[in-house]
Amino acid sequence: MNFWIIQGLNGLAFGSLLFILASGFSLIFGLMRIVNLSHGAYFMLGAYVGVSAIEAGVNFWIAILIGGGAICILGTLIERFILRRLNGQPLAQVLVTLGIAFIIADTCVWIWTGDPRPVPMPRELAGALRVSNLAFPIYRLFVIGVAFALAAALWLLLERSRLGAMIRAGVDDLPMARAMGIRTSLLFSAVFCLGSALAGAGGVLAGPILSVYPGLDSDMLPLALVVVILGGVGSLVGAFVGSLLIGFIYSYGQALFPDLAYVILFLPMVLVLTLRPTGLFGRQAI
Amino acid sequence: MRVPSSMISWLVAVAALLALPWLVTSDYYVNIASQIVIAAILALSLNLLIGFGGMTSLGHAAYLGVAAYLSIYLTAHAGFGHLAGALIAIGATTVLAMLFGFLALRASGLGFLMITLALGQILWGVAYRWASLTGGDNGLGGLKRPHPFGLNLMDPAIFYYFVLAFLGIALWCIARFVQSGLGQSLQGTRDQPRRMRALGYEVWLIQWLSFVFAGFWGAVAGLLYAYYHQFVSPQTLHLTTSAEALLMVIAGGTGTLLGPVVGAALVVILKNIVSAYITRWLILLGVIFVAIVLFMPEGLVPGLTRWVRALRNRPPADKPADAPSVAKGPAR
Amino acid sequence: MTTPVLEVAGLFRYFGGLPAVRDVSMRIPVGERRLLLGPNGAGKTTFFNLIAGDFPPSQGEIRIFGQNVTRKSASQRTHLGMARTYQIITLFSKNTLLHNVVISLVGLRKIRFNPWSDLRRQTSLWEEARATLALVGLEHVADRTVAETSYGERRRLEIAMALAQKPKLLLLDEPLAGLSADERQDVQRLLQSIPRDVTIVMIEHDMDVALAFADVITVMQHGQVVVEGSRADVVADPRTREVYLGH
Repeated sequence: MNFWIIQGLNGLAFGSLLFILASGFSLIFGLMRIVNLSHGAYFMLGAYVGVSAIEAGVNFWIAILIGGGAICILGTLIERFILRRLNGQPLAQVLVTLGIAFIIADTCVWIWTGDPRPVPMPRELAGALRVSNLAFPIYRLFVIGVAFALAAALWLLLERSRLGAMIRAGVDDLPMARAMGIRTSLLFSAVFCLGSALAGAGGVLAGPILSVYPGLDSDMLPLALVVVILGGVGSLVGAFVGSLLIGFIYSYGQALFPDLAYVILFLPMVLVLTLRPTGLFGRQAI
Repeated sequence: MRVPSSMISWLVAVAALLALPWLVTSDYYVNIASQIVIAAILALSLNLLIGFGGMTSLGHAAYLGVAAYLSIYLTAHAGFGHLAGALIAIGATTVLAMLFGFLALRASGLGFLMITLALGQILWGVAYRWASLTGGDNGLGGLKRPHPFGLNLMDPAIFYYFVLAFLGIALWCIARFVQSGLGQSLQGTRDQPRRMRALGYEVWLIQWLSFVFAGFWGAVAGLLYAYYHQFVSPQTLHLTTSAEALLMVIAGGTGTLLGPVVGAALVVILKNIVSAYITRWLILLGVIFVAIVLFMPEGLVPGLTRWVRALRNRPPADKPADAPSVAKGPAR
Repeated sequence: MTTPVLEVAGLFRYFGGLPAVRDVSMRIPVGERRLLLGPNGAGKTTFFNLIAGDFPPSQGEIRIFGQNVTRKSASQRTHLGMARTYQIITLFSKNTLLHNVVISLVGLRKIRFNPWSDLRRQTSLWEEARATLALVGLEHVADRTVAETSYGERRRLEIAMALAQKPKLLLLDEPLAGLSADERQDVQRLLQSIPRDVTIVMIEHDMDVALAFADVITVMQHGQVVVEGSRADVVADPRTREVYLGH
């Protein structure tokens, strides 16, 4: 029983990190039809920037802001000066983001070498919360809290704000949104900036749990893709449910069948693509 | 006038390929030629999807890697003979292509690309983590090259002819495919899927059959890859391998028969040269991707031709390339 | 009474929450020339797309030659003997006209799955395609690519591709749109030459041509059938004036 609870918590924490990454990826894809293959690299680069900040003596919380902010700036520049030039050529945009992902990945090895970097936990969140004979690491609980708060904030942003209404209109029908006078280029920049910032900040936040290593990007990117395939395009609820689902599957899978944890990831994908190609919460096929 | 001159250039090309082991005396170069030939088979098979089918896959390393893993595992670790191991490896990989094709073709355009990428990376994860079977990060080795018909494939020149023969067969089969009913149907579904449906074509089935056909040739490349390196590691299945194959296709110009072969030569040679001096191949790969998309969306070879023509300030002599550029191709 | 070629019952199609086709029912017997009239946005093309199988109806049933095809794919319907043309021309623009017609012919033949036989060597196919092009008066430009032809020639190629499949049910979506007066006459003559056992459903805005051609006319507005009947009935009906003529 204890095993299931602890692994469940681990799954929830991993799913939470995944959500921070995948929500931005899904929003960008849903709105801009850009499959941002750099997203995993943003996550990793954000984590490395955060590590360097911490090693330079910066407080963990500031490091999250620095990581998120750095990637936000990088993403905005890439969107503004590269992706926008390729407007209306989705395949070209994908290839560019793939190229950028390689450049970032290799640059990280260059700067931070090939050795994994452990990320120290903020002191105030070290230790565990004890409930009867179970010990829950506080940091993981905190990450879960952050993801839920983020989900709520994004939901409010999308459902209750003017910006959100414009984003939703754009996801549903971009030409129509444009015809209604929404300045889509500004909207695109805002969403890409938000998604990048989330990826970068998420990377730093993931540091104490996953640590930072070359290949973190290749580990995370396909999971984000799987989340979107499962959850459906541009659906926040889909990204949330998909992330937690993958988090649980991955966590239990790795504990129960360590060799096969990755094979098990096939199963939900096979099922969803076969039975419901729009994804669980999507309205259009990807 | 045209036909004989193209015939002559063909004959020259074939003669040069056959004479290559005498022209370059060093085994090192003969081995690079073998690498190019194997990469060319992979690129040809990927071009079936991208160039002729309009389906941009970012998971084509799956077939290369799975066939390589299977053939090494079966022959070097499970006690199968060379022929049986090879046939099972290619057969099983083709079956995998059937499954992956079924899943990926639930979507089109970007969705197709995402699914192929995710499936490919999951396979990479499997190879990486399922260490008891795959050797994990250390990879799988121990394969000895076979001796078909008494040929000593350990001799670089003989091995080169061996793989060159496969390239010849692949080119022949793919050339026939492109002009066949199925190949023409595939090209129709690339240009006008909705129209094709209304004309009675089962678009899904045509794409799936082509996907499986491409998977088969990817598997053949994987088998030869295993023979060449006598070793396979998760890197073979990684996204970077798929991306390199994609680069070969777009570098040579999509939708042409020989473009991928030229592209394979360019990428393999570049990779070997660069790797000799610096360790940052991946950065260069990324930069090339960005540069191609931004400056030569129609491909490196057609793009360079266009630039040269523009420099000479001459109008293009022939019609625009028959196939859509990858970058501007249909996406949804 | 013989089975109608096309029978539609209670057809609905919603886009988002908006109905594009509302409760349309129709019976079209063998050989009839049926004309669909109505202002832009009346749901005529959506109705065509539903019959052709581009997407399924939200509700209702479609029968072709007595077979329920509501859940059948577009290609399956084509194999039953239905062909269509498009309002917005969607040809294979880099190929020759001849090649376009061959693509149309191959769609109904097993060779479309053959990965080996060279399509260029199927002389009978190419001859048949050439004959079809001659039928619509395009034999002189058969070897040009679509990109090198005029708009009127493309319209005729659209029809040739449909006729090549020897359909028993032909859906024509504005075959005269954008043509000059001369070209209109050519296409009109071509349509009149189609054998009477072929049933034709046509969307057309050119009243003169359309009225001369049609046996029965259906007037649609807001996705619904407003008036249906013979030429004289529909023209005389005040509702027709109201929706279509706009006064």
